[in-house]
Amino acid sequence: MRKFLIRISVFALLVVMTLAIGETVVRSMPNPYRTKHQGMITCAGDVETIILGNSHSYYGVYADSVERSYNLANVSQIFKYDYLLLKQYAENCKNLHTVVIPMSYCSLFDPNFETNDDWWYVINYVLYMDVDATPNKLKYYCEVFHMPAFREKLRALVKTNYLECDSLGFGVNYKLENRDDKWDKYGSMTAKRHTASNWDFLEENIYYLEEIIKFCQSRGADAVLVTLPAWHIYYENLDERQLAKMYEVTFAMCKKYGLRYYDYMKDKRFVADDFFDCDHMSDVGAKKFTSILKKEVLIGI
Amino acid sequence: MLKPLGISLDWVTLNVVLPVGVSFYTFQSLSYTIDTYKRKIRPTHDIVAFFAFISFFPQLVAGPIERATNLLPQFLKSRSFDYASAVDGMRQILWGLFKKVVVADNCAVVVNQIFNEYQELDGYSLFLGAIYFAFQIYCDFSGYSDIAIGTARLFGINLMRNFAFPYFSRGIAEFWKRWHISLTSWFRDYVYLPLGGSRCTKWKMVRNTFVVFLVSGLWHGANWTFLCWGLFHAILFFVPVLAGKKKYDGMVANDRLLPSVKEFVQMCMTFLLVVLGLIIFRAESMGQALDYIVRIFNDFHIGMPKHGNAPLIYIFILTIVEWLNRDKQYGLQIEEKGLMRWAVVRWAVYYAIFMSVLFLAGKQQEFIYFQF
Repeated sequence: MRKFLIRISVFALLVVMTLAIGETVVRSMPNPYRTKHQGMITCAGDVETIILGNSHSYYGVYADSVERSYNLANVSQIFKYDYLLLKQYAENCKNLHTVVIPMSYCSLFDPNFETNDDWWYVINYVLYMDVDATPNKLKYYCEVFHMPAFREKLRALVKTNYLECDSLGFGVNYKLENRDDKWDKYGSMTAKRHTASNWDFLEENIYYLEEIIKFCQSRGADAVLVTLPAWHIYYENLDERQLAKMYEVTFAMCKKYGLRYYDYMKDKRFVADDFFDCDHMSDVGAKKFTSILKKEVLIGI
Repeated sequence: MLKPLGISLDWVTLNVVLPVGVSFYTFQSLSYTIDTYKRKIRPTHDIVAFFAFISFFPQLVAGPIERATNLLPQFLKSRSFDYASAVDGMRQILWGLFKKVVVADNCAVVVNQIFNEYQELDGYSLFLGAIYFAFQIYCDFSGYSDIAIGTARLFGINLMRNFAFPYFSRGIAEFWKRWHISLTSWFRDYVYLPLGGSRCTKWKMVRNTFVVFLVSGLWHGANWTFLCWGLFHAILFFVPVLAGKKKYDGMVANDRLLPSVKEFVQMCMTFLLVVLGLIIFRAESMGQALDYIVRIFNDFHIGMPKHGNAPLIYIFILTIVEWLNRDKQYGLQIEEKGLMRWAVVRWAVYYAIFMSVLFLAGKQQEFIYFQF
């Protein structure tokens, strides 16, 4: 028995050492969360406009085109984390003037990823952005604690297609020249995926949306609600009931807090080359959208 | 009547929530009852041993379906730790994990995609989808059996073998001696033989064979697809018997590295027939199964797999390893000879397989046979 246990322990040690090396490698990879954390620490004082939201704004708003702005959006980011990031970094943004809050079709219905299989997103916020997200921090202190995500990050290293953003937080992976030939094939499928099976998280998402708005108003900053452009195959397949609810809540927020809302979802100025897939802008489209945003929304900046 | 308890029953489907693996331990209990009745074993008075036999955790939910004659006596005698047995158990667990996590789960992702959108795909993709499903279900189920048998060995318990490299079979009769052995032998002993087995008229033998296969299909669920799958295998099983074809018992290519051309063709034919049956097994309805099969022959152009090469590579590795060890109990049963006499080489193999389990795993899937 002793011999068996010793050999098993030696084998386990070998495995742990390998995982430790993997953890070090993954942590040293380019990472938008770390880039944004460092960016907000070094240039927070100059930032006048902050862009929040999920992958739609992460790939859709080219902060370099708007003076003194920063893109704090992240892939799959929910309103709760928008709020936590804003609260954390806005303290140092003495000149904060405007906060752009993207209202995607799914924003109000997205589940809190802390409660499902995507809980590994929290690791990014805890490890790289120092966000005080949850009392159970131990669970999020190592990349290796969520093996599928850890594995995907290592695979991305081999394929050199890891998630990357520029120094102002804009996601640089969705270049038009890298777009798949069948980029619009899965538009209806994406629309279905973004349609919530239940509205269990609607209340929680509205709560955090209101917290963001209240926080902005307490800081004297202007909160603006914006829906980004989408390709017709995507918006033609959206669920009417969910879409109507999204607009209902958006207009209610505008009325309650006196906000401006801009809806670019079906804007005909955006053509095929402006999209990387049916619900994300390409780099070309992001620059075009940002210049429109600057001219029509961020007036005076 | 049950509404106050929060249970609502549909009188047509009943819709009863069944415990996981109910059919496995029901069959195990039945074998004890029947064997006791037939005085093959004496009824046990040790209640702990009896419940350990019924609910032994490694094989509780998906087998192997044990016999009281094999398992019960093992709980009644004292056991001590055996190093060689424990090491062998660990190796079998590792191989089972590789089959389940690397091969089956990676195949499952592609299989689900192909079966979900089969109407939009060409014949070659559909053919590959069926092949992948054959390896998915084999690796999923035999992987579980390997893990169960290996875990039991750590406790000094020997469970029966459940799979014996079934895809190296040269005929359907041989396939059924190598696939889900514990269930097949259960049906043989408790259904086929009591009905008269093969010691009766030819037509009674035909009836007995069909009954066994139809019951075997129904065991998987009350669905036409399972019933037709059973019927399909009954026909495949019986045609060579009626034609008086030779039955194969021993290992294929015994004492040779490669099979003869005849053996290779026989293995391929058997495998393709099994794959055809598995399309029926996997489909949601008989209509879908027939549509899928017809579409395979439409627009069939061999080329690069559209859903990635990874499953093919894993299947290739699995097949090579299992072929080289086809005379053993499981794929990774290493003998300390040749290169493998060096501990460092053996450890390198274990390490490589364990790392592949960690880093090449497919999307997590529940074991298919948990539902039965």
